[in-house]
Amino acid sequence: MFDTRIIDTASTKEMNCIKDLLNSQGLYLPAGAQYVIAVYNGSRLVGTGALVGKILQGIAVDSEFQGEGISAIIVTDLVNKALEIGRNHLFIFTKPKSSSLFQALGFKPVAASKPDVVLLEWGTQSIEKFKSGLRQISRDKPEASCIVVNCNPFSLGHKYIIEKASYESRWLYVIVVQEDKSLFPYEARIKLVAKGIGHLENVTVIPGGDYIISAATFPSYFTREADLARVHASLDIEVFTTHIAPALKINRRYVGEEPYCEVTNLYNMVMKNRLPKKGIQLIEVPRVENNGRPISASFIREKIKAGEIDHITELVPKSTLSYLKSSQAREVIERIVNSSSRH
Amino acid sequence: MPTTMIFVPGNNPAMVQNAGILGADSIIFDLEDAVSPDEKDAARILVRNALRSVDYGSCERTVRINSVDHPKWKEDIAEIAKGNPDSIVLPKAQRMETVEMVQGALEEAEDGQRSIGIIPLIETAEGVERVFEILCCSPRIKTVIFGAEDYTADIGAKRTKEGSEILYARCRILNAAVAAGVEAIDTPFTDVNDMEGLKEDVKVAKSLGFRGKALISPRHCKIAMEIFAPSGEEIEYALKVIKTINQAEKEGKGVVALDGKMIDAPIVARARKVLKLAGMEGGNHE
Amino acid sequence: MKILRQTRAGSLESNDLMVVMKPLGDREGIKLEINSIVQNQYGDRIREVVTEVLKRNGIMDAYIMIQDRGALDCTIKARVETAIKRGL
Repeated sequence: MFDTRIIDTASTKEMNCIKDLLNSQGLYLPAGAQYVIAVYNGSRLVGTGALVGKILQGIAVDSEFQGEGISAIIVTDLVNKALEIGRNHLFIFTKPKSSSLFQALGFKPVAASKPDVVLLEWGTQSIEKFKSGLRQISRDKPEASCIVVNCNPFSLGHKYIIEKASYESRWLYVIVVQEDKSLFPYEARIKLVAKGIGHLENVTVIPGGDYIISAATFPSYFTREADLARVHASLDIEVFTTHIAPALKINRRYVGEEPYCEVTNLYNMVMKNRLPKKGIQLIEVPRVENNGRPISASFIREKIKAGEIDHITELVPKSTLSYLKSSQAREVIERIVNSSSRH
Repeated sequence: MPTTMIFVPGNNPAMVQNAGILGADSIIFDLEDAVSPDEKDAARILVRNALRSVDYGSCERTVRINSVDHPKWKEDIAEIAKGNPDSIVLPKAQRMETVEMVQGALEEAEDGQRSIGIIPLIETAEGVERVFEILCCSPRIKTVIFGAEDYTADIGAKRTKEGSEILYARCRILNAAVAAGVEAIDTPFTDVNDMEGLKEDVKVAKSLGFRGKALISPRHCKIAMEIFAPSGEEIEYALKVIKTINQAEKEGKGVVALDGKMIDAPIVARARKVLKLAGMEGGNHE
Repeated sequence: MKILRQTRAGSLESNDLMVVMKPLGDREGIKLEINSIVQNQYGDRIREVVTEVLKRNGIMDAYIMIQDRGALDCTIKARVETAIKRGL
């Protein structure tokens, strides 16, 4: 029989054993793993797994004990923990050869970026449900363009590219990244987007959910791990081209040029390479400039951090400015001032 | 009259549903140590349902409930009784009062059709000292099991494979069991991988007079069965018993004797059991 | 009877199933999702068994997700009953 124990992540001795097991299976300890479990056969460590946000990671079973149902024990424990803390929609990244193992436990493939990685999901939400929601939205709309934005916060640069896309398209979907890992919370970001483009009549604003630049499809977008970004970017685009674009009848995607961020730039390169092959036109729009420098959200945040809100009046629309000056924004601004994150 | 009784974790459906084909005579569905505290409710319901609907063939079906110091032990009995097991195994049995309390709970829970047996698990120093009075206090008790792990922890001894630290308890329980007319089953051997150690341990148990062995691994079944299998003399005697009573029936005699000893129902039952263990089912061999 | 909180029961191990149950508002009815390794052969049977347990326990409104790993009827019934009892 096997015993399952929760590992004290502060204990280097235990964590080292786990690292060794992971390394023996060609895996590494996931960054930010707070809930880590270990399965023992007597005193011998035979399996491990971790829960990071909504993703099951670092699942490994000692080669000698594979085929004894240990991965089912590990996944059950991690799923139970996730459900206990209210996470009902879970993901696993795995190598294509391990995909069937997790499918047998009820995980369903969302997309694959071959030969590196398959994304699988489990729970009360699914890509199929998300798509049927999108189909409801697109049912009475023509073929359309889309743009995916984070808007952290919404600037005149965003406004410009959305307006341009709106004029050039019969319909436009503005998909807002829903993952709450930016300094401006999702609720505030999507509200400012909606306010900033309220004058455009052929635009629908859509939350990105778990499938468009999310911790599930593109974790390194948030952790800025450039070495993983290429794989994740491909996966995210695979989800977009196989699921999102057909459901919304999208034949064109707009994207802003990326002069600063390596990961975003890489994402754009992947899109340039992949979208046309799937019959989706990619339009890369140069950034709008102000006083000879491209408007960027990170520059705006730097100014906010420096307490110079008055210096950004030429960079954001009135709606964003009045939000920043309102009491609602106090908490966010405080966070930006105290934060060392560029994101 | 079990010879092998196997513990099966009560919250594991694969093991619960297959418990009848592990090779043991008797199954102990475990709601106690093998089930984590937050799954006790689930295990209770799972075992109850399995008892109702899974066919365990000729296996005796028993359930180890939680001991009476667990806050929910009565719920164990209330649920399990609905599955109508042959017996419940009562852990940490150490006083008559405990058995009487459990008996009361069983009476409340039973449908009145059938009486569920109680198998005390003697696994404390006090339990060992009081074992005879415990075994005599209820007609529901037909079997007793010795639990050496908790017992050695209780007396502060180190558990060894040769087992001198448990010799006193084994002999005491066995003696009390024979005196009370109860079958005594020896403690499980806990090293799942040590087959030689298991063999020695089972041989010791048999030589002391135990009627069988509790087991924690299906891999232990075959070895334990083989060692407890009846000897040539036992089989010969059993065949004689069956022949004698068959003869008596034909002649319409109510009372029969063999070698000057009365043959009563338990002796016949034992003879049949011996033949069954020897693979000579039915007992009608001439 | 009303399901008052999200609960779970069972596991993803072989011959078991996992049940996730969530409350729904009055008259929203039963929303039952079943995933099984034997979906094609036994999907309908699992639905039948689950529905019967819900009915017997008087559950009118609930969301239930079942992830089956080839469980027997008696195991399905046990896990659903456990999830219900944990949610009351």
